[in-house]
Amino acid sequence: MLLVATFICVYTLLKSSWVRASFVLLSIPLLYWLAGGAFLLLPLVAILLEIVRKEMKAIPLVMFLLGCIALSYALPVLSKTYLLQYPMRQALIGVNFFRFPVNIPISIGLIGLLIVFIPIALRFIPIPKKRNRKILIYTFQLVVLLLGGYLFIHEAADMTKEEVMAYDFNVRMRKWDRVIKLADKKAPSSPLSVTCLNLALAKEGLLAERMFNYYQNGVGGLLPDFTRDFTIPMIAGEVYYHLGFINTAQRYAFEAMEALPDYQKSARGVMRLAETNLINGNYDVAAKYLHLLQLTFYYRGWATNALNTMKDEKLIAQHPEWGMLRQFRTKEDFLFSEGEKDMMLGVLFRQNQTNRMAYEYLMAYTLLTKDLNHFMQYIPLGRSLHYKAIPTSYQEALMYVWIKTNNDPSKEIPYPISPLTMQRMKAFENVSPNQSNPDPGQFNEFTNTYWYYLLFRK
Amino acid sequence: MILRDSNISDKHAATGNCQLISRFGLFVACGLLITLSSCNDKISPAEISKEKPTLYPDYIGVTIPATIAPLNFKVKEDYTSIDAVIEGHNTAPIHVQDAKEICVPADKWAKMLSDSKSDSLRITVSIKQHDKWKQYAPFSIYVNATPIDYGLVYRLIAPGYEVYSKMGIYQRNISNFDQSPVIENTLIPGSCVNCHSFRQSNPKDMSFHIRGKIGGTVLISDGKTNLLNTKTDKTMSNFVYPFWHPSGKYVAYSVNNTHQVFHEARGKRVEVGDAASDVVVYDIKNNKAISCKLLMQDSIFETFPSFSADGRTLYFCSAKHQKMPAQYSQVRYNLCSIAFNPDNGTFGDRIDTVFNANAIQKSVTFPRPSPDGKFILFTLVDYGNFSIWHKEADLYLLDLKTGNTRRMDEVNSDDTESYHSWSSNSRWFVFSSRRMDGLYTRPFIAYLDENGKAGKPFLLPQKDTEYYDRLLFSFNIPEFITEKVNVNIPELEKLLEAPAKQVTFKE
Repeated sequence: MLLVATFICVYTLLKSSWVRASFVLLSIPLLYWLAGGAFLLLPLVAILLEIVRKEMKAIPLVMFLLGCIALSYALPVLSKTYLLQYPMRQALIGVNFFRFPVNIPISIGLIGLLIVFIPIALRFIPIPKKRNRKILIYTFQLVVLLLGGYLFIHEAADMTKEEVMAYDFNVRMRKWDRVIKLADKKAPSSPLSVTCLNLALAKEGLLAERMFNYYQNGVGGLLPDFTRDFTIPMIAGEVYYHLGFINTAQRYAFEAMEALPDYQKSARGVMRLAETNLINGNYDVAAKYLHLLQLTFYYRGWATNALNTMKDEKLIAQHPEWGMLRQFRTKEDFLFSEGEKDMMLGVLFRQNQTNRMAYEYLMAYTLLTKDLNHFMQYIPLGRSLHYKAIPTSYQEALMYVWIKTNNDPSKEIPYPISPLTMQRMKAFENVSPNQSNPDPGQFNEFTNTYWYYLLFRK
Repeated sequence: MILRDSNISDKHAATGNCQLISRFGLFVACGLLITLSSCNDKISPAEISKEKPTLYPDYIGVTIPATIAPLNFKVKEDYTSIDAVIEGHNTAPIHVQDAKEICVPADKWAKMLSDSKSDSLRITVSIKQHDKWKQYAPFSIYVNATPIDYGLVYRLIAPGYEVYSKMGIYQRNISNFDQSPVIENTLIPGSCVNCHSFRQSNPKDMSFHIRGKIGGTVLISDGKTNLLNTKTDKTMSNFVYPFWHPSGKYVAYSVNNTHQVFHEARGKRVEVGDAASDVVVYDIKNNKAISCKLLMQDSIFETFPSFSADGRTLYFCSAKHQKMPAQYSQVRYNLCSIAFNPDNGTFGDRIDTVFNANAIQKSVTFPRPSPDGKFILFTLVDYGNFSIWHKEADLYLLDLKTGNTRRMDEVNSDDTESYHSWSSNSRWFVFSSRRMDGLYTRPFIAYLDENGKAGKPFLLPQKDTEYYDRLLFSFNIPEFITEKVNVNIPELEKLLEAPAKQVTFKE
């Protein structure tokens, strides 16, 4: 659009009508190549302005008009016939100009109309002669531009998506503390933000301690199900990667990249493919991806470092992330099963009982699915992780199970539960002694507990 | 890049002497000589190695046809210059020197191959390291006089899982580097194009599928293009794996209920298997799918049909039904056959086991009879039928005269060898292999003599030696073609706008 607007600007500055006409006719193919379907704006503006200007005689004007129409029609048709195997609509819009070739936002259409409207409107607005008036008009224009720009961006932006992008960006950059700060500032509202937050909590060793301090939307916020798009697999793949499901992380990165609607590739996706292949010891494939990344501006340094690391097995083993993930990845083969994520987490943890994240995701899975039988089964497995104290969410679940199952008031719960948790449990019980339909408003002080999740989250 | 004839320095010296007329001429000549002397870095190797170079791609000792495009290559070492002298039969040597790679001029290469039929090329490679030339031991490339077909058709697709981005079926003239699309899935957004097949390499008889909301099986035969809806109420799916009858009257297809699952351990990625499958034969003239009870047994998986050279036998892979995906590793396909009468489209009343792979705990995929009727080339894996995801997959050759089967060690590698097809004269075959990096499938071509002995295969040459490194597509289903394929895209688009022609079924 900007490029087309520049060409329109140049066109309006040309004095001779022959030069203008030649400029437009020569620019049409160039703009079709450079800017895709937006090229149409130039002949549209030019035809309208030439009619308004009345500088061209009738026959040259008609010839110019016909030339513009013929060129504008012929270019997409010729491209489709000889260069592109795309539908006609796509040949007209152009290939590789929009990420979403199917849905072009109305805002883009509006901008296009403005680009046509403004130069024509200017023909009818008198140019101010007084200096003060000029300054006033310029100031007015600036205010309209700034205010309009702000309102346009504010209205056009989808803040829910912006939130997910902020979470995702920090996850991608391994800025776990920033993810948690984002959540502390404003509770995440979308499932993908929750996924990012849970991952950040786990990476900071806080998942078991603090996960119910935030909104939880079930297993979907822990390990989202696969969908054929380019967003969910990319974010879910981050979780699988850090857990040690290297093949799944690789698959999700590949699928997310393949799902890009404009058929392009993603440097982030290629980077993850390089990492997962490197961890799996597929060095030839990893090198292929790394050499491609070396051709990019942002990933060049990283790719070069990775290529150097790949030359030495010891360096990979010592790498803080790849070395650890090599230890965590599964040695025992099994098939990925969307409906049995807890089983997969269990197998992963069983093979390496220092994989704290796998254990905490397994436990979180049981808590979020309210599967307390399996939670109780898995609790002893945590011994290998040498917790200083049982994490709060586990304490809350243990207390809950104990109260529901113990019939002997003289017996003490056989787990080291903190006095604070015990007190809160009693307080929680006092608010709602066996209500069949409790009011969530009564439990506001317990929204950060597992009990609240158990009672009110479906 | 500098391309030089071996006597180029003498020529320029002579030219220079004639032109030393004026000061300006002298200046120009001196400048030219200085430039040439710096470029014409004469090979006076400081080291002569007894080893052959490690080429990329590996073209050492390969057998090639006389019409193949130049085999451009580089050496797998660091260097500042590379030099190659290619010597053929009764032809001036070709001398190429470059900083990066050896790209042989096409016209000289073509002439040299033409003059060297049934002979060999001798190639001497040197590389310059730390301002010193190192010359390797010469190696040979064998030029077989047996002609090869015009080109190849393959699908380019990312080696992914369930989601697919841009893909297409492309044709390549193998005597040069020209590649052009036959059909790309961008034509019908969201679609997948697959399973292209030709009648004995004849592009005038072609079948391929377009899968998606809009699509069907595209059948080009007898100069007509048809779009078929191949799902019938008697068959479990649309037509899948095709094979043309030599007469051009029939196409055998499998119908499959296919699923894929994903491995978690390294070394394995995807497992594709059928929960059920049958074989049918499509009668083009009568628009009917025909089959028989023996090819549609519930207790048996039947797939990958192919016709014998005389068209009177239908080969296919057959495995005992297993519960899928739980028992995916228990599925083992034998190579079987049933008689087929092309005169009336009827089948025999018994199934013969041609190769009992199950007995050796193996599984057969892609049986491909040679057009001369002498051999069947197939892929053997440990289990299942989707050999491209099996590292152990190797090519095997069955001699139909002797009944002997052997693993083709001269063409196999440690990695996957999977899909393969014959040239129209049965003396060349192309196969897909993952030997280069373990993931991206590349096409290799090999010569096979009348006794079933293959030459060392060569990678389909590309103009740029880094082409395969940068390419994020696999070469899928490489098939020979005797001439250029011509799919009429506007006609196909019109066909896609209307409902596809419904195929009927007859048992």
